[in-house]
Amino acid sequence: MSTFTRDPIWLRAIRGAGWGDQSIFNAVKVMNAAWLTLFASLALTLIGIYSIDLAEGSVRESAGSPMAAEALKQIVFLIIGLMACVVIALPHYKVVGLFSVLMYLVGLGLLIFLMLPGVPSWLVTPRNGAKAWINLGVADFQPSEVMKIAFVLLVARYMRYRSAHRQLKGLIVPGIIAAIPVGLITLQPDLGTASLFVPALFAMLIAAGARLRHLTLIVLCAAMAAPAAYPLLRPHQKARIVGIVKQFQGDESGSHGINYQSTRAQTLIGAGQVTGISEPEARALVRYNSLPEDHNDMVFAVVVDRFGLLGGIVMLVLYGMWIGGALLVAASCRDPLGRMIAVGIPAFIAAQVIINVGMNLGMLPIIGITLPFVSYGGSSLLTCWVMTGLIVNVALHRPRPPYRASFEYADDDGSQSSMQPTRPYGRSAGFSGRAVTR
Amino acid sequence: MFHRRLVLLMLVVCAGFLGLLVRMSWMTIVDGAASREVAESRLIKRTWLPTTRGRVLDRTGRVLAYDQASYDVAIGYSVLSGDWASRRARRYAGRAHKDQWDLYSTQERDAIVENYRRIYQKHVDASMRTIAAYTGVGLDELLGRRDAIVDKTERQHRSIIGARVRNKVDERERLGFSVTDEDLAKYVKNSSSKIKEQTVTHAVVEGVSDEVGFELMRMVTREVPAMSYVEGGEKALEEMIPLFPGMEITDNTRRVYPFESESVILDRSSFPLPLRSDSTVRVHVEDLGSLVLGRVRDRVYKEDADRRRVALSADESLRVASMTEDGVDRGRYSDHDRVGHTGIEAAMEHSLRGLRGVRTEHLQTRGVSEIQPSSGKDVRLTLDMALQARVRAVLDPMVGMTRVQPWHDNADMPLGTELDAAVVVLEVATGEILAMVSTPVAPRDGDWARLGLKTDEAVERFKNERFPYVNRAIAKPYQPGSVAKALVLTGASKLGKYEQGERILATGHLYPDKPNMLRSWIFKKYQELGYTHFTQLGRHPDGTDALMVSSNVFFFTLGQRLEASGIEEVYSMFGIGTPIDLGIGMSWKGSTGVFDGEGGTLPISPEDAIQMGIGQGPITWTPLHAVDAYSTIARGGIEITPRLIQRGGMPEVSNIGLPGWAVRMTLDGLYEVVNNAKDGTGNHVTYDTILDPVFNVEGIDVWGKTGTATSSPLVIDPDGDGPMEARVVRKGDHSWYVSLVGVGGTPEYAIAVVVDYGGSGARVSGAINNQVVHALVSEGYLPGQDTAAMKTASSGTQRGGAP
Repeated sequence: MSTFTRDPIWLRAIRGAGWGDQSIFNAVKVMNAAWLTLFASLALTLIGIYSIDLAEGSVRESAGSPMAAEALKQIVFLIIGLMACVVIALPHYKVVGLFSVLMYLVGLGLLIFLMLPGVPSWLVTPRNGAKAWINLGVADFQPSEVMKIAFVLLVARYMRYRSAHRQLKGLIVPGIIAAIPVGLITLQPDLGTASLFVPALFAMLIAAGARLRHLTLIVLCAAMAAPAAYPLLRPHQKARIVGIVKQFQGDESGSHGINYQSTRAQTLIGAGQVTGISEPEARALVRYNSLPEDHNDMVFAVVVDRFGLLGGIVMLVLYGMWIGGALLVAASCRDPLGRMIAVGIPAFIAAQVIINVGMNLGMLPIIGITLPFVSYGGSSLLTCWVMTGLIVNVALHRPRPPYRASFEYADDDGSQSSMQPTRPYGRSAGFSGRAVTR
Repeated sequence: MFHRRLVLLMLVVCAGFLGLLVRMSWMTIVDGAASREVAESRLIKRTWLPTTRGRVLDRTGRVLAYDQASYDVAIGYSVLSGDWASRRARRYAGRAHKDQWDLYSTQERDAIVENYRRIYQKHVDASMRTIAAYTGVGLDELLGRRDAIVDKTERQHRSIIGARVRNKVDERERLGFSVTDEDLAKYVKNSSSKIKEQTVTHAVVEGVSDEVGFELMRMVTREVPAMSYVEGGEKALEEMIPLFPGMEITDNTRRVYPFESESVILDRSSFPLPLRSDSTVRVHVEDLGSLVLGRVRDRVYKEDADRRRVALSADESLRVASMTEDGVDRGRYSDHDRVGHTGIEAAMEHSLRGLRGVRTEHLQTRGVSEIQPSSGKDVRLTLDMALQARVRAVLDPMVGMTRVQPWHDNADMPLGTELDAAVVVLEVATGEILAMVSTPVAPRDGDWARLGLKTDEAVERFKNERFPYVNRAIAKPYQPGSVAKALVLTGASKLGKYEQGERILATGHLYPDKPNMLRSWIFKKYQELGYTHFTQLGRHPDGTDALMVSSNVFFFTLGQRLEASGIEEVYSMFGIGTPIDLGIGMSWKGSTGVFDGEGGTLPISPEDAIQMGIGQGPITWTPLHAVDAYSTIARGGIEITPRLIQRGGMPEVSNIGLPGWAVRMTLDGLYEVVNNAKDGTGNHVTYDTILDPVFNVEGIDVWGKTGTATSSPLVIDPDGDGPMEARVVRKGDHSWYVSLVGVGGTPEYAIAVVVDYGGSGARVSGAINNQVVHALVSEGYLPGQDTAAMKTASSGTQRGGAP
């Protein structure tokens, strides 16, 4: 006969699952799929540090240091990220979720603060024409990164016990939750980050059981409305779209102008061929081909240049591992909040990877998106590790039975959902856990 | 369902990744090699070292065209104004203090930037000192030039800002709005964009030698550690900066034609009687030899690159010499390269051009290799530029021989009209062209006002009527007229249509029953009297006589006997219809037969053949053909292809097989033309009652033939809308005189003179031909004395020479 042990509140807050006398250590052992995510995170970050050092090598040489300053900083950010990952992984995600509304509102507040007139430039310094960073003195902080996490938590928390999203009008509230930060981030302007929210929302809605035909309808309406939005774009954004169209048409006239960055990236990617080139040659090629943002947005080109097609495949496999691991965590999680978190987070990562790599390969316009875990940047790396921490959190804290049925619907053809109202205890339709015996 | 949805999401992600993988595979596998090549090409920095274009020399070694090497040292305006140092300092400060930069106040930032700016400015000052040392310009002077450039540019900028602001203010006030101080400040800010002078380089030292220019050019891409300019206490800069910030060495090399203009003194005592005097005349000639030399241009066209590619593929030695190890053509064209445009400059472009040197830096290995430039090869012409200048001076309208004069008896052209002419002088023994002159000539520098053409309309009319771009000596088709009779006689003799000693009845007209057709000139002139050459000579003419008196019936008869095939063969054996490639571009190859409009000719009719016997009808040639044919006769049938460029090696020689007796007979006839005072058509010109010999050079033997070639009038349709309003601008006969001159009974030089619409051969071309003989004497080709020089020396006047 199993016994129910009441843990202290603080321990319950951390362990959550806390079956009997199971320790955190034992809980960690059963993380399973989250190990994939962790491993991929670490591997990608180490590849990123190497690539940043390769890209910034010329500065390193002239400074006489063993490693480029940016690479050294990235190591520091990695250490901070690992600590943040542990910190975010320990408290139960439900506890974290309690703060979702607060985080969301704070995030909105910060996004609005960025745009307020009269904000001193030492506090909010425009970079590349965008006001997206707040100077904290020791580092720069990007509110939109926090917003990503807050958004996932809020949407997850909103939808965890609801089924309204099965109807078309039930998509309005999640849409509003997404639209507000998307609008504010677009006004920075940071179209790249803003564009990540939509795929994340859609992924969460799909996972949550929203009807696919509703979502398809929305996508079609958006596609039809897109040309009307073109005049609203800023000149440099329009120029980038024109540039990518030119590339597709084989027009190389922009290779020294608007398509310069993309052209150089593609050249370096191609130069890596299948197995890559030696490190000295890679350093030389990256340096003298003058690839802009080589340690940042275009770092994927540096990786493929060095390691070739095989290196690029390894990168995609690692990202696939990360995303797959997160989705496996979602699959093995019974709790709806955990499931949503474990879907929304990898959706952000997947969208970011596809857009960034697409930019590097010349398939998408350059919209200033970093490559998760790999690109240089404290905010970006920290956020990625926090996201990893959340996945680990969900994996660590498996809910005890009985489970609420979460997002288990009979089918997609609009017939009556088989979901039944649930009670905190006892059996219910869709119950798939053991009965609890008191 | 949830799990199904997760699988769906994973599939979507996989589909996205798959698309990326496909694209990446294509880029690395299919395009990989090409991308690698492009990427690696950026590891190599090439600095091209300029070369010198080859010279063009005349036969005596006078330099007719050469490159006057000159380079300017130019520096970017941002460096001159100090903006470069400030910008680099600010950029470096932002990077070096990145972590705290946003925390600094504006004053603190400015102080940091100023520290670095001083270091960068010191570097700029040091580079200026180095430039001053290399170029030999004093440092103070160099800095003074710098300050002057900055001052002038800033004034220009302020002026333009002012103008822009004024325009905006005026517009606003025109719309009825008032302009506040705030508006004004906004206008000033918006109008302050840089002007072009603030973005380009400015020459601080002009005309440095090629040695200094090359040396500085080698250093342009060098970079040095900025810290090398740090002095005690200042923070070292961790970056490499250009040794000479903003410096460019611009090629200001000019193509110089030293003999472009010459001053020639002519002795008028040998002029035709109405122009004769004891004094000399100084004639200043411009654009001497420009049609032959041609010119260069500073603009490269696609056709130039195409021609280069063809030349490289056709000439193995050129390709081997031109290519670097990695397959780059050292002679390839870049923007603003000089390219031969016309004449020798164009024809010998690949020889004259030379090959650039190249300094190759391998950025990865820091290795440097250098190939020295190869100067272009010199081209030596067969022309004698001094002779050319004299001949050109003779053709100058101010001298009088190329203006319609009363004694020309030219009823078709108004008195005083300037006449166009061409002269070719050929050395019989070698086939080398000593002089080739065509007038008028377009001004090389485009200054039409020198020719008295002050409006665009005048220039256009001049171009349409006078064809100054056509080298009449080789490119304009003329009917030969009577000068072709020498060819017909020898040719018919060779083909057996004329027997040695044969006399042909001088009936005055060819067809016994048609006295008004195909007549001799004497019969035409004295038809009422029934005067014929038989009457004139007292005998029916043989070949010598026929040439002497220029008997048309004689040569009509030969034409009739030769028929179409024979007459065509006669002209063909003397090179008519075969291009003579002098290597200077377009030339007329001569023709027999009427053009059919489709690139071919119609068959020659018997009537045409008869006309061609006297050099009329469907036959065209050029003055070059004339000297070539007469030289061939003088050599006894040995044909040497005329040459303008000395290439070394033997000339092309062939024997057309003229019978010796026919050659002697023809030369005798030509001698009689000039020297028979009674009957020779080219012996004298009658001025009222005075018989003035055409040739008055003592001790020189002259053989020659006059010609008055009937030609079509020159019709111009000014507005190009059809013949209805066409205007006849020139009409009449072309005047010919072709001669052989020498001493001791041996022809040494052939001279062909043609004057467009000049009329009488003896009166017009003959006088010019005589002056050409005097020019040959003056230049030492024939024995005698330079009477012009003698007269000038005795009067104490400086002899004309190169300016």
